[in-house]
Amino acid sequence: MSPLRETVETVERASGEYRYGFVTEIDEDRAPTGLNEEIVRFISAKKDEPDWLLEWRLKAFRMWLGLEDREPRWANVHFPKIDFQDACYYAAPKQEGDGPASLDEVDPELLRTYEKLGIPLREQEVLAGVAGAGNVAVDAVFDSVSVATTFQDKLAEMGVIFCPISEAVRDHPELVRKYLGSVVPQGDNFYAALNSAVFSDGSFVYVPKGVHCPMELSTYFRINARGTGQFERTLIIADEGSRVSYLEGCTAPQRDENQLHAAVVELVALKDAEIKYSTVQNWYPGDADGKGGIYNFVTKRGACRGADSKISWTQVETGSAITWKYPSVLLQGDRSIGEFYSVAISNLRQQADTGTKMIHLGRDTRSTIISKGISAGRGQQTYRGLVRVQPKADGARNFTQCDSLLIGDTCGGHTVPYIDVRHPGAEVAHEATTSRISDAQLFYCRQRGLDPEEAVSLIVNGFCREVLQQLPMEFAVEAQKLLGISLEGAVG
Amino acid sequence: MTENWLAGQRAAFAACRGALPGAGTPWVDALRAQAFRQFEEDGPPSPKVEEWRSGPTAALTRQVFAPAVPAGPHPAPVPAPYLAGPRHRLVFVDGRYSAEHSDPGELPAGARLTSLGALLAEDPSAARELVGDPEAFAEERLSLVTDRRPQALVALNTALVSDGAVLIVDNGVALAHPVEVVYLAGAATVPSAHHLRTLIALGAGARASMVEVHAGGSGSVWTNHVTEIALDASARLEHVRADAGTRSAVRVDVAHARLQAGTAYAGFVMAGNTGAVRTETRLVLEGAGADGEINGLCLAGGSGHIDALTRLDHCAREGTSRQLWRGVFGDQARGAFQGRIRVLAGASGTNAALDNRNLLLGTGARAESKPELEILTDDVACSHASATGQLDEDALFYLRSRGLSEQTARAVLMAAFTGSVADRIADGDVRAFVRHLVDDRLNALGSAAS
Repeated sequence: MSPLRETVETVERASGEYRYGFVTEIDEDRAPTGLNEEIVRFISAKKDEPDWLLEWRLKAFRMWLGLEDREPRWANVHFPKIDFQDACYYAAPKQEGDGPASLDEVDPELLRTYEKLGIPLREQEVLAGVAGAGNVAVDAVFDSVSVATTFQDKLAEMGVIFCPISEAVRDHPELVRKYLGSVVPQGDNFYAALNSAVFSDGSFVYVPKGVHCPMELSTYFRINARGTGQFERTLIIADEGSRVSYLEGCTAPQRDENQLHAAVVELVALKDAEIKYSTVQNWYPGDADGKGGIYNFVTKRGACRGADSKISWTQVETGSAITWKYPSVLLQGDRSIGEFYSVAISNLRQQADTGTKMIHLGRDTRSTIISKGISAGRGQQTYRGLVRVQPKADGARNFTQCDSLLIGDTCGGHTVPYIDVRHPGAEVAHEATTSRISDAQLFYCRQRGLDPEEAVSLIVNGFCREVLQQLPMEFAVEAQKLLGISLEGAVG
Repeated sequence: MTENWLAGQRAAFAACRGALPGAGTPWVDALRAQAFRQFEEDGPPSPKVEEWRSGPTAALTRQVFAPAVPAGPHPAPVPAPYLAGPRHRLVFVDGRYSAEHSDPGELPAGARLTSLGALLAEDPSAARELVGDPEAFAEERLSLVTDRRPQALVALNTALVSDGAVLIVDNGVALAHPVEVVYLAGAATVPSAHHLRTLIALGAGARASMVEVHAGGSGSVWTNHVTEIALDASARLEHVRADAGTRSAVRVDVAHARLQAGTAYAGFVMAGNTGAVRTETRLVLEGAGADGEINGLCLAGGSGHIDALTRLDHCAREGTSRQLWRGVFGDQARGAFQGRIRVLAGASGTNAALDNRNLLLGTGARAESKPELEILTDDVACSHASATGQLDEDALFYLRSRGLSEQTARAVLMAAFTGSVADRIADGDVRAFVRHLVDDRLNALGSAAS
């Protein structure tokens, strides 16, 4: 038996079950099924929003109607047509009054859910008093609403605003109004228009001038309710000279139906500011026959508005039945820097079409793209990226490396980079390779006493090392474990 | 705009179908009619078709090109033979075979070199075997949907083809000398189209080398050239397609080759028209152990536009392929390259590589590159690389410090940049000819830039 075959089988036996597939029984408040202007008004009214935001949503909704039947079809993902009228666009855990003032008022069922997910909101608060403990401020979003945000007080001392976006609309309307939709406009694409019309919650971060955010900011997204979509909206603004690192994690229950997750994330980095955005995406991927799972259709974009600003995206994509996601950077400021580090795994019957866009507009802008795709089982994985150097981007530099690792002969790994250079002073380089884990590598590891599964895990971790190194420490360990688990089910 | 253009093609087809070669032969008439219907259905290519996203679609539809008149009023002087050594030469003037200027010479027994017009007249059944169904050019996308739209111009070519070279080589026969085919376009003043078809069929173990050269033309000429190649087991073909000072508005050329087990196809493209060029090469490695190579040079200045596309499908085991493309774009020229390696399930042991590099010389120049990998099996080693930049300042400084003028230093570096591709041509005479063409073209770009 060849080492590869053996590995595939061992791994199949180990049947990596999705560990976050439970459902929380909790009272929920939801909108009627379907989508029309009334629903948009309903959501806006539920959240007690000002008129300008309702108008903004309605404008987006009308744009979305104009885009009807204009879903992006160019991606290498295949799924039955989605009936957008057959979903619920707002679901929230029922709350008494105005929502919890502290964690004590949060439904204990919810807290237990987050504990099961490995996000002990309460412990984090307790740990706060321990000297030297690495703190992470967490915003937990359950279905469509934010249920708890920790460490807000401590952050407020530094002037950092970290809160649900619905709260920001109420407390900091000037900031939200100025920046919402400034990076991803309402009509940007089909899913962004949908999100703009019906977004329910998400995180808002504002880091004032010169402040280095003292802790990691983190949001955990959880889809719980049946028949709903999740449409969160995240907006992060780093004012001049500031720095912030933000993490997001996502899980969902195991269901036979497909659920839609169409988020929009906007980042704005002003002069000398730096934003690091890390994602560990672990939505339910569906079962081995491709039944169920999340459709993850996300628009993420950052704008390096000021000179010397920097935006860095790091993503570990292990979940979702279908992923359609291209975190991008607009390099507007001179000498600004964009980075994209990605590990994506497609196992079972997962399909992922993911990559990035780096648009060089300013002088001496630089971008780096490192993408590692791993396909196994019947997974299909596509890297799709764009590097564009506009005519004024003198001295622009880009380096791109896309590697694909194939495990088994029924999966696919594809690379589709677009490179468009309109300035002779630019230097753009792209490299890509596709191969499998070699028998020699496996043999070497096994000869040193590793079992096939450990050997594969070691090799895969080595393959992804450049990306995993970019993750904040708190996430790196989790991500490595997640890689191992995701590979268990069908990766050899 | 498109409607006008389509109406023009419709009128042209109605007017000339009775006079095209093979007219009256039922299968030819049926094939042309079917192809034209398909073309009408798909319409001219638009940037909305992914494979044509950077194609010269505007230049194509700006004028309503009608099939060129044989022996038009502005004949171009017939160039002297391009290859220095012994050769078999066919010359086509304004889309028709010219016996007067051709010199097929002595061919070994079992080799046949003729024109499509003559073959259709003398031996239509042989022609039928060689001319592919236009559908054969359409390919499955990853979605498994067959997309014919990128091939609309091939369908139009099938409907309107006026002539072209035919090379048939029997099993085990090797041609000692290269074949030189010249497609010469007159300096037409009214929009004229040349629909040309080259057919190459090599039997098992056969060997040949063919050079197809485009020359002449004017801002009113569109050349639509299709080359169909079938290589039987272990056959070897070296195939060069080149512009020798072409000045047409648009030149479209599509080569489609099917490779059986153990075959080797070495293709080379030199695109250097002053107008727009769209060049496609599609290789299908059908048999085990086939080797495919597509190399190209795209050299454009002024407001030139070169759009190169390659599709290399590995369908069988142990196939190997290489693609090496270099582009030099000056002034406001636009260059685009889309290259794809696809490895289908079952094509294990595949080894494929693609390398595209572009130099931008002009401030208004633009280079697009889209190297793709589609891999559906795991036992492969595939890679691609793409780089776009300018001449290395340090290298320039070094050469200048050795006493070379800036112009010479630039020329040396550009010769090195393009030389790596031209040097891969095996036949000495052919290589010398291509190098000469490249030098001429680079000089033209350099003198325009300085």
